[in-house]
Amino acid sequence: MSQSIEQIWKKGFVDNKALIAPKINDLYNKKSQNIVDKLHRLFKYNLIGIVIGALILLVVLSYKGAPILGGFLCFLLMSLVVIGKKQLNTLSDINKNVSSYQYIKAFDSWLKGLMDEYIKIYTYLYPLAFVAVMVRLAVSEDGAKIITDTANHFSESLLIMGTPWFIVLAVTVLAGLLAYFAGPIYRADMYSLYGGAMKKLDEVIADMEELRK
Amino acid sequence: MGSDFYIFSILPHAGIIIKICRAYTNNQQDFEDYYQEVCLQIWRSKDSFKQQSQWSTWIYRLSLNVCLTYLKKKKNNDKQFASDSLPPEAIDDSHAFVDESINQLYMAIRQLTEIDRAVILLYLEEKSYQEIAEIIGTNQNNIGVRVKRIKERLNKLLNITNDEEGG
Repeated sequence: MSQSIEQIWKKGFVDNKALIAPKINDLYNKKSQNIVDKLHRLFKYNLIGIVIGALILLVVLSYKGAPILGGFLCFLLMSLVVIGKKQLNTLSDINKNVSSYQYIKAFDSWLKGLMDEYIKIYTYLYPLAFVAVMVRLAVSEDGAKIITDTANHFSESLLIMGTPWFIVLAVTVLAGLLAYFAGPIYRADMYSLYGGAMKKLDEVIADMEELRK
Repeated sequence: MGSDFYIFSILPHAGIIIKICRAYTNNQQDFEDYYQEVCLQIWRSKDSFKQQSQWSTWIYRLSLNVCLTYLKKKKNNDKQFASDSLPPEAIDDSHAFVDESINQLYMAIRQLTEIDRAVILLYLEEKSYQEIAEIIGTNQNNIGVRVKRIKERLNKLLNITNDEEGG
């Protein structure tokens, strides 16, 4: 090619007709596809969903004769909502009117901070919810019968609060596993939704950091 | 969005937005989506515009930031996120402009990384290295080297394209 890229560019755009703006209709009512706006929307809907779910859980479990469990699970979920709302408010602080590096870094650190915060919460939330459900099952009529039958069957076994030690151990191990895997579960969930965007952000940041050296 | 704002504040600078959006999209539908998103974000962020820079520079900055963080709709192609080097056959936008040379140049630009696309677009728009560094947020000293490297790559890509077409 005989022309330089600068010449191609100048010649190509010398006529303004080369740049025809697409027609835009009802722009204000269109949903943004920007990752920041989309996450804001998604988290907002998530929080509303959690509030509704928590209230339904409270009503249903109370109706089924487990108001304490319902109240406890509702309390756990509401704590999640309060923390989530706090995080959501900080998302609005990300300013698009800064350099690309500052913008992408601000968003990246917000996202990582959010994930760390949620992982901390889920590390306690998953096992607490699981243990609460197990305790409720243990004190229910059927659960108590199963525990009593098991205790009678293994009459030589050590009992912890009337429950054979291996059942307590199994519940403890499962709760421990839920706590241990809270991070990977949450990360997998986030990556399944935004893995592509996160990868893109990482690549862009790496490229920019090379340019900043 | 108020139509007055679009007509008087965005439309006179539509060329900037079109040039940037074309570099980050591979077909007309995506281009229109990106264009609309940039206009929407300009309107939303207009209050944060401080007179420290020109309105046009601010539009460059915002358009690039929006294009870098745009989430492509699922139905199109998720590969967009990892599309640092798109093969020419994946690009369905080879006749976006009347000038055939510009179309070929854009085909080559789309094969660059996200940041290289931003650098070369700003360079071609005759922004100084200092302005490019400020808009992207990088070190001015490295911009010149990067521009040289990108130009070499583009020249190579354009020559390859021409050779293939010729033979």
